[in-house]
Amino acid sequence: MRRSRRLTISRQLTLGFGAVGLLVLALVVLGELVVRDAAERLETTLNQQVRPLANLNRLQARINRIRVIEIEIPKLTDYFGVTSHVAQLSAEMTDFSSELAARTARLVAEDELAARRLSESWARYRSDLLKVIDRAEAMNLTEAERISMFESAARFRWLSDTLRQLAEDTEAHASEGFERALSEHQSQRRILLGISGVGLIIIALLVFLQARSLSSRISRLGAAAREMAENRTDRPLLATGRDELTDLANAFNVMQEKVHAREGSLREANARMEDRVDERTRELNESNILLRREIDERQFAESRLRLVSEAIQHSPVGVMILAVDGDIEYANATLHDMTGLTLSALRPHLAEIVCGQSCGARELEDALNAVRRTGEWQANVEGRRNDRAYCQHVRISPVTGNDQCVTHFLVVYEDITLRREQEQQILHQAQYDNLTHLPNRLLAMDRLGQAIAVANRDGGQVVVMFIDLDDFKKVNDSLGHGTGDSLLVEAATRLVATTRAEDTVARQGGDEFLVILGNLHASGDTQMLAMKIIGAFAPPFLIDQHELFVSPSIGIAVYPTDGDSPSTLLRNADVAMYEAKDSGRNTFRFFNQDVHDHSVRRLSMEHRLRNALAHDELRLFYQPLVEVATRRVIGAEALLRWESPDFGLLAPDSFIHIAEQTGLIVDIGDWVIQTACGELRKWLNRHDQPMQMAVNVSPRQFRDNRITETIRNGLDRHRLPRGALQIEVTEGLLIRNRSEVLEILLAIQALGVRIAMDDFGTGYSSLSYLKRFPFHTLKIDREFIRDLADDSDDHALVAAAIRMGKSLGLRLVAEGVESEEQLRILANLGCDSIQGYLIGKPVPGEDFVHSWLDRAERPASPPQDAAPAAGPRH
Amino acid sequence: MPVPSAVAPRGLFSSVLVGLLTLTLALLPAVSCLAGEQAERAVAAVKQLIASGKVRPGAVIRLNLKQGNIAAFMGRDNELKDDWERATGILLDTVVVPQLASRDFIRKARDVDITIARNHEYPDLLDEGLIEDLTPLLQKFGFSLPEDTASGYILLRQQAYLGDRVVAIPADLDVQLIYLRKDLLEDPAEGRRFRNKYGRDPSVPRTWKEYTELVSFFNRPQEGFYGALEPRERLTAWMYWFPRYAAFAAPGQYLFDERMKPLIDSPAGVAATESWLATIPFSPQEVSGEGKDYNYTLPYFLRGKGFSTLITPAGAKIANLEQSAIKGKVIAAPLPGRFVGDRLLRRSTIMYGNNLVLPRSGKNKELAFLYAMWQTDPDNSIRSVLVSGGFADPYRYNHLSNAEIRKVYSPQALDALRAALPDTLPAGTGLPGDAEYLAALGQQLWLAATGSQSAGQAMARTAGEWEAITERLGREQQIAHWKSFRKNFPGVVSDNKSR
Repeated sequence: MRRSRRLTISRQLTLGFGAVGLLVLALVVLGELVVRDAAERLETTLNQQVRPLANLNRLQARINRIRVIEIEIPKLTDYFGVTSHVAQLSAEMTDFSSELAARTARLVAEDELAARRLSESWARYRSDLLKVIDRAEAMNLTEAERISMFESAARFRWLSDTLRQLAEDTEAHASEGFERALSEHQSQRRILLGISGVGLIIIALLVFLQARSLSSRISRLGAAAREMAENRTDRPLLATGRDELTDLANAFNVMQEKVHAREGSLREANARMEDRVDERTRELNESNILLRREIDERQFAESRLRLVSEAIQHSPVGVMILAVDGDIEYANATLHDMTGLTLSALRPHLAEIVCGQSCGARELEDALNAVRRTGEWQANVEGRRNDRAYCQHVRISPVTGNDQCVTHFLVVYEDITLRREQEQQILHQAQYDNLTHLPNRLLAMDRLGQAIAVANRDGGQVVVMFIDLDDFKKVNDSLGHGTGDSLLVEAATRLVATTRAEDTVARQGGDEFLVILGNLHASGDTQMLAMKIIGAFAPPFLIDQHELFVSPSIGIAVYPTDGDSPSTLLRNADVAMYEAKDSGRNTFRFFNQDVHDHSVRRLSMEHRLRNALAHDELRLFYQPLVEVATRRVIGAEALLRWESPDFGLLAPDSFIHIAEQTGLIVDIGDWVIQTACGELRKWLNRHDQPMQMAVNVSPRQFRDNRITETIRNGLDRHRLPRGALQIEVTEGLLIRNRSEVLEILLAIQALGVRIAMDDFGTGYSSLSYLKRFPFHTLKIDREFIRDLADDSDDHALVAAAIRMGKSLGLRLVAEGVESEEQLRILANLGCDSIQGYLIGKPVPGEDFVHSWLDRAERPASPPQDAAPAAGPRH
Repeated sequence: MPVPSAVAPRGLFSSVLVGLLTLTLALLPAVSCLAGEQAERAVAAVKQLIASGKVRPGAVIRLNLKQGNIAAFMGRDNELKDDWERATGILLDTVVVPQLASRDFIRKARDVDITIARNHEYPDLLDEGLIEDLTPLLQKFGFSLPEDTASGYILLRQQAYLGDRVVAIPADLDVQLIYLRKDLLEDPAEGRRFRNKYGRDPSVPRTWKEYTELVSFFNRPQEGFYGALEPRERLTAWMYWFPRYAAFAAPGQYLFDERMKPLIDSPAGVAATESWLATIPFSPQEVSGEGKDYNYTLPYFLRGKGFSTLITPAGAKIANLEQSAIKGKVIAAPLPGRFVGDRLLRRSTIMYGNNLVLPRSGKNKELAFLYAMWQTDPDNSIRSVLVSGGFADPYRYNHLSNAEIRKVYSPQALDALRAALPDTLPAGTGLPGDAEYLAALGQQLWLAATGSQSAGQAMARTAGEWEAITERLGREQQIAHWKSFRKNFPGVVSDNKSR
């Protein structure tokens, strides 16, 4: 039992080594935890960066698909085709909704406003989409197209911009997170190093205290022995502890007692023996002390060396120790793995490995001198190894001796290739178009902003070209998206080849590209480049064995003339591009503010015009028609006016072309016929005199046979006699679809309606038209009447027209008669009737009744308010 | 020592085994084309062509398809297209053409390998040399077109043949059905009022007269609800007139006599025309307007604004969509007919049809033919028919029993289709000059619809124009064609069920 409780020196040493071992183990575990934590944080940061971005990209792609289907639907003609597209659209909307809901749920906690904006913009756009679906299912495709063009476009843009903004914010937040994680990682590293240092100090302290304890006890034993030898004391030694030294002290005390007991008798006999014992004891003590100290120091040094060596050998970074003369003394396994070189092979390549592939001994010496001077040198070294690019962070620190002199250099390598690749890949994805590898809209707008800043500082110009590929959609629809994508890549290549290296060619989206030219001082350069781009698109594109011809339409806006912000310049270049489209495509146009204003006004007018009929804003004015021979009013021409709350009273030349282009002319034309017939019925009821009403009709009304039905309804409903209604057509109608037009005109003639050729002389003036079509009346255009009295050519033309008309049995009407002299000449030439400001200007129906019908004789003298004046025909 | 308990079961087992074997052998000829086999044979034939060097790997077949056909032929998410291209390495280049008659665009086609034609167009297309006779290709590759009731093509003679020649591979079947609002027919209050007026319960009409009474009763224009939603425009007028005429002329009479003298100006023709005209007062005001075909009438019905319409089985598919306003409220039925004695004679016709033909100018005829066989394989065709919003309606017998297709179309509609099959006639006249005959008929019907002439005048004038067309095309030649038509479809004139 006593033996087991003894704390022998060997046990003490064993316990000491055990404690040191545990401490080292704790440090290793702590280091492992720190490394693992750093790896997890890195992974979390990457997840936070990549997944939300990918999610937002998916949403953006899906909403773009939805927009494409939405725009395609009104272009379809068949109900089942529409249904197929509607089914696709509904499915896409459902998928988008659920994906957006998941995204919004996560977003609420981070940015409630953004989440609300996303939900709200989608809700509104979705509402428009449902309207489009509703109209499409009713095959009201015109309305569906109107909603797509005017209502949902802005909401789609709102939603798209919100998604884009979110993507940008997400990327910024992720970058911050990444930096924060990196900073925390550094902090943990410092803490680990600190704890390791404290651990080492504790170990050193323990060893020191243990060594000192042993040393002092042995010293005391030695001193007691000496005193006993010198016979200076007979006090026993104080024996503390339970180790061998205590035994020694006890033995010493016993020996001392015995020595004292036998001293008298043995003093002399043992005198020499005593001396020898003393001497031998002293020698033994000294040897013991030296031996223990050496053992302790060696064991401590060995353990420390083993610890450091293990840590360095298994470190995830490469470590190399250089002598002061730059010779390699040590390189760990990681460094060999990283370089692929053994220690002996490393030596010749030391400078390349430390400073980079193109460096030599001089650069290495500079680096080591920098370490001596500043205490540290670090750099990122890039190069290629085994056909693979790499990037390593190299850091050199000095190792100093006790005299603070540099004895070695510690070189630490960290492979940051993967991290660098990931950073570059993320940056590329965010700023470049995946298909063409051109800068995307985001990067283009950034570069445009920079170019504007430079131009603002240097006084130069910046040019933005907005390029749209004509008929690209046809290629996509007919040959598929694969071919379309290949075409876009080819187009991008041609654009890049056409521009300067310092210019930016970017993909705006779809088939739209941007070219940004900075530092320009002459507009001629811009025109030349635009023409060069058009020329570059002249050769056909050979895609998938197809020979494709695609031309560009280019809109150009210039800073500072056309705008001082990137968004304004882009919008104005877009407007100019549309003008280039309107001008026949395959051309370029500079931005023109007037065109922009005109375009806005035209759109507004078109929108108002769609409601003009429903809001009862259309009016008919009536201009009297007078028989030359009797100077009596024999009828009137109904002329259209639009009393718009926004634009005032408008003559037809302001809006008829819009009505023609949009097809509204058909409904408006029907209204004109019905209203004019109704007015004529009122006149006939009031005055039992034969009267004739002339109504202008548009070629568009002849595209289906509805006009015949409309006229028949007007005649039947208002019980008009045969010959009372006259419709007036222009020569333009007769050029196309002659057989169909002839058939319709014959049907109208069969209803007892007179047919007049209007504006005769301004078009083809073909005699064959007059012979072939069933005309009753020829109306000579005001252009020939205006200078009739002064211009012999006009006189001859009018005389010929009247002769020709008479020979074909037609009645002749001269338009725009403004003077008695003109009237006299026309009378002499045999013209039957006239109309114009000489007689009276167009007036509302009530005024016409008052001015012309209620006067007993209805003579052709103008009323007081109808002074001759130049004015529009309508 | 005998062991009866052991012997008896063995005898029973043997009997059952023999019985099963016999039954299997008996059924074998009926199941002439196992599911998937047709497609596999087509793929093997393509690989053979490639191996022999007659076709280069990666060759491209160009398809001209109509809006809505694209989805059906390419499959859900292009899966059919992908499967074909993966299996054969032959690429499909698809182009959309307008939803109009095929003759014009086939005539203009230069490098189109395969396209769509309507059934009634076959005679003109073949007569003008615009499409290929597929019979030699079938023989060359060892294919036959099955018509067994397990998975064969439905109404094969009407769908694929002209005379003895195969001119099209069926890829759709547009038998005309009638669709009615079941919820209104079964409404007790409506039933009482109808009974008070007509002395009978409202039900699926058996005759055209009952149909006219129903659409008259349920016509409520002041509520924006119309009784009849049949187009009455010029180009498709014949589609809705033919089933009426066939019913009124049956039994024993059809369009021409043996000398090609038109029979449509007979009392049967006038009665059919009057029945055709009778729905107009119960239809939307512009129903006879130019171009107002099913694109105009069908949306009314599908938005719950009408009582009845006549359309192909696609009507059931689209009415049964989840978002449909009339889902579950519709009943489909064979078209009405006419009682002769106590026999009810119903007649229907194929209307549109989207079947595969090979333009003669195509450069890859063999590949195109093999693609058609692959596409219409029993399994692949199910995937085609199932595509939401596609045009292809069930055209093989296995489609009618497939659980997924029955769910998409509703079992009731497919049962109605099956019931209508024995009484379904070919589309159009079946003669060269079909387009001219139909155009003349459409024009006169339309004039009658606009009130410009009576039913009798319309039929008399059509008969006159038909005579002129026949004379111009050559009466003897037309007589030969008509004779062939009557031979192929004896039921048309003899009232048996082999139409």
